[in-house]
Amino acid sequence: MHSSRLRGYGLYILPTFLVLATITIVPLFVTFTVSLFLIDVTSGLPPVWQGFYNYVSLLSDSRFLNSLVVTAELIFIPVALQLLFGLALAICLRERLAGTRWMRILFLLPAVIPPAVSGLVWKLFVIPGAGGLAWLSGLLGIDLDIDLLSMPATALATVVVASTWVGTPFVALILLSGIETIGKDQYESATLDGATWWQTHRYISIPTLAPIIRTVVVFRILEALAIFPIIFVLTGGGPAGATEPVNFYAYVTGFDYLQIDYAASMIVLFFLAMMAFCSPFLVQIARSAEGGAR
Amino acid sequence: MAEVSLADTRKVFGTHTVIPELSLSVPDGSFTVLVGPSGCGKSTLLRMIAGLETTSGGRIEIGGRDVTAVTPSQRGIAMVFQSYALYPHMSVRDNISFGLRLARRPAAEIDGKVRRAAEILQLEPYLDRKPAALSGGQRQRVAIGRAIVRDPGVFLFDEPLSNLDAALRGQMRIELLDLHRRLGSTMIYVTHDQVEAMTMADKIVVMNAGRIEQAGSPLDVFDRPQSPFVAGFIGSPRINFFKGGIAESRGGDMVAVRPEHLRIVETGGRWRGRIRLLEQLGTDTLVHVTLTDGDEIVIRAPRMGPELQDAQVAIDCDDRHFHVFCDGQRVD
Repeated sequence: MHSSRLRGYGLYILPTFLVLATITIVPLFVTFTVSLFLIDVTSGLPPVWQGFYNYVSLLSDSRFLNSLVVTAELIFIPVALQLLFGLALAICLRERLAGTRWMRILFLLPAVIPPAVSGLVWKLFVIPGAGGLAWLSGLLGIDLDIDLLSMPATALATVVVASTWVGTPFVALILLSGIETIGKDQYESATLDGATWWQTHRYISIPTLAPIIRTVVVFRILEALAIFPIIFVLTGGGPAGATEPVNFYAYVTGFDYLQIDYAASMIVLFFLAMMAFCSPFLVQIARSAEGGAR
Repeated sequence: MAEVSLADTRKVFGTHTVIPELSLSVPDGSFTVLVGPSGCGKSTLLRMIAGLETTSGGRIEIGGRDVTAVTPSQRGIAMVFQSYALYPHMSVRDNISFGLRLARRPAAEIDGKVRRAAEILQLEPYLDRKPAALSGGQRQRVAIGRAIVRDPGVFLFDEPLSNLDAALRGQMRIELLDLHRRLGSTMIYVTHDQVEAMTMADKIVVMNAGRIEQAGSPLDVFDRPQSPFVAGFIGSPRINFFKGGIAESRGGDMVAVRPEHLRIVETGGRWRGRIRLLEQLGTDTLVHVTLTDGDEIVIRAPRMGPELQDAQVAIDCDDRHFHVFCDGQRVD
């Protein structure tokens, strides 16, 4: 019995484990190893051990420290906005207002467009004098002839808006499926108790959705880290590093400046920081999934 | 406590008329049961009284006040749903006190009312539990508790026992009647179960296709059904209908006899037939007979042995037990 169970683990779980290990754990280990050596890819010299020198250097690298701030801004502001708009949209879709059936399909559109294309769409949209934004502001009688991507604050705002636009439909659809599991009777009972529209959602919808909201936020944060394509197409990290998150700085350092050991140390540090932040949530999600399965 | 009256109330969904025009008076302090088959409009009517459905016409009064255009929370009613409608993330205490907390009542008042409701419904040990940790019967009690703390003039129940098993349903029926006696409030109760209707009601309202077929005391409805529909709907097993000569000789086009009023006789008898099936109920036996003209009838007889299966029998009934109908109306 015991040996057959072991064989079961070996046969069914080991291949999956090996694949996952190869594509996640091994690269992490390699990246960490690379970060401990001085590697000059242009000279062809062998790697030189330098220990944690890169990590110490990072702490005094103002561009890196700035990229940490930008990363935090590009994670938390869009995710907060996605949650806010996603929740509002989910509630509106649940109310089955006129036209919302078609809106469900429309809302999916930004979620299925590749991020690089989304970046391009937004780049075209904000082209000064010729883009959709200029046209829309023209309709309102405003002459908006400024390059939003040329100023730090507006460039960051544009990336935040694009990122929110890409992520909101996913949040809305997941929350909508959660809201639709709440019985109509619960809302009617609250109405009989004198709850207003806002109170009904404040005290029934949102608390019932709390576990789903937690899961969605964690996954959106993880997804927000992969904002790379939008930045790459839309701003290239500029102006003056205003929209340069850690992963973009690491990319530039590794592939443009060819300092792969320094780039690797950035990624390792960033990985550790994100794991420290997300682990408690992931553990909680795994626990609740286990409880649900039981 | 409050009287409920509906005058020419109508409900139309799009082009579909659910309730054509209905007038009903529910006496103050009564336990009135709306009963009828699925889709007859009884739940819609209850929801209209609650204010959860708008009325397409007519007037609804509660306690002498026209509430037709009043919001649900201002009607002085409380409703218990079939699904209990409890909030899964709140404790029993928070579920019961939800409405009071919304109304920002003083904490002492909320606490007192919750405690009183919990005491009436024997929920004190469960106040800090979540609904998921309660049995079906306890959940239903919490739903009733939520209604009690509102001190409503009228309690509305929408098939509240349908999700419970048979034994618990019987127990909850008694508890609800006990509650009605203690509170003395007007209660309107919707069910499709005629046993619930018969055992609980002061007044039964039998509905069919959005209309009231008959309203009265349970025994009056049972003893003097005003239409073949009521005769067929109230009573278990179902009443037996006969057409032809036996009906015509009594001045109608249809007669009905309850199974307990038919008896198997050795000689004579109005009908003859073959015993098709015997259902043993313990005290009685339900005898299903195929008559010589092909009609199927059922007789509730004292206990009979299985050896009578397929036996040829004669059946009779006293004249006073015939319910005579002509053109869908009772003929006396």
